[in-house]
Amino acid sequence: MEHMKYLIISFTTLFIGSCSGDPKSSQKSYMNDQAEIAYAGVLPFDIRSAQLVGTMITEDERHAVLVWADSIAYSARVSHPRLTSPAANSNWLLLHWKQTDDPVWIGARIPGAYLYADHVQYDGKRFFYLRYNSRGERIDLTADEEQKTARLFSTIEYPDIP
Amino acid sequence: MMKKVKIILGIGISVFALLQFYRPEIPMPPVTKDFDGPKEIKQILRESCYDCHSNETQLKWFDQINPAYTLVREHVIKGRSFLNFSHWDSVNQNQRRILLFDALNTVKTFGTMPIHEYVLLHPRAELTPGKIALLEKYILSLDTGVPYDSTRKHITQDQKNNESGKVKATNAPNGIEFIPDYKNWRVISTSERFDHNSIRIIYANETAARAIDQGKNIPYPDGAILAKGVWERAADESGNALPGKFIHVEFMIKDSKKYASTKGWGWARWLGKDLKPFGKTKTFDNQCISCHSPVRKTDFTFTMPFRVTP
Repeated sequence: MEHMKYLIISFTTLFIGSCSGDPKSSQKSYMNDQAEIAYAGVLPFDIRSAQLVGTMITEDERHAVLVWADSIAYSARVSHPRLTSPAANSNWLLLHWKQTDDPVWIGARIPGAYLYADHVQYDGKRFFYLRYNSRGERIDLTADEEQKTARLFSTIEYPDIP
Repeated sequence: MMKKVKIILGIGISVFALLQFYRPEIPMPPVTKDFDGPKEIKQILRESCYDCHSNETQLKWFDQINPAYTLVREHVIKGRSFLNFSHWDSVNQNQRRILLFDALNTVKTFGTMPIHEYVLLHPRAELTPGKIALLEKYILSLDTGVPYDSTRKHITQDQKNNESGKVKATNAPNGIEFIPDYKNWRVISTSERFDHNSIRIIYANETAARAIDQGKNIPYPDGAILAKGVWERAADESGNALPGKFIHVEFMIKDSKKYASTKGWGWARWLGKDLKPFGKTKTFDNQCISCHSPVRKTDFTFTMPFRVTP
């Protein structure tokens, strides 16, 4: 009888223990970890609050590219339809990811590994190009890389969006 | 006691016998055009899919016995409404590709087709890894690449039109209002759907973005809203894919109490530049739920957002 009593107590304790707990701790995370933009603090502006102005998938390297504009560049876009007719002191960020197959849908490709961010700046007369790699390190571009970024940047257009 | 058992058994047998007289027809319209893919692919589809997804349904003896017959009839009618290999002429090349990719995902990604109980009773219908690999190879070969769109030169004119005339969208049939500010929200992902030939941008409102920043987006909290803009894929002269013509924008609005009957989410979509609400009746969202049900474990969301960390 004593054994029964302790058995009941232990099972009850186990049951209550397994049922209790903060419901919020069961919340989980569903993220694209490899696409995370780490060291975003080094970028010239915060893309979380900036305006997306373009997207592209490059044919040669299969990069998913998203383009953000700072407030000056975005305001100018309203009066100048193409991105390459900007106001002085405009800044853009072209973020590159290697595309990967979407794990939850055959027939789709999504951003895979985050590669780098190209910073495009316009001082009123000419464009400047810089790169930040995935570790947030600033890298100077070669002449070829600059030309490639410039060509890509000139192709991007604001999506047709109501 | 034995008498009670006999009475119950007797009633059961009588009900069973009466059920056999309830036999609504399974329609068998003629085949207008059969699926015309490679022979080995067709063989796989015939064995695993055709009973419910064609007009060439072949019932076994046990399919003829009610209540199984009624269940089979429902599956056949529903299956044909989604995909019918006997009316392959009723869909164009693009639509065929989309249907096949959708089917491939139900088979390989979600494992919901063929129906498990069907395979138990029809062992030849089982899709082995080898058969799935063959199907996948064939369906992936249907990707025709990005069409070059010379009309992109006129996008700038469209942009001017966008800025001058703001379209006033009416409510969705389920009462959800259009949220014009979505394009100013945080972008949390992008997707190239080569099966649908479209490009998508996924936006999150402040509540959803905060949940993502905190790493607590399963489930999303009430007040979270996700929006997805969809454009046709168009290529420039270098073959780079860009958003072309705007197709639609759709929303998922989280309110676990208000939308309890629709999985905690309010669903809505607006089509084209005129922002015409999608759906004829207020239960149109059953279609949304049907597609999103396979991802119920991720709070009915497909999108894996990327985080931005300083």
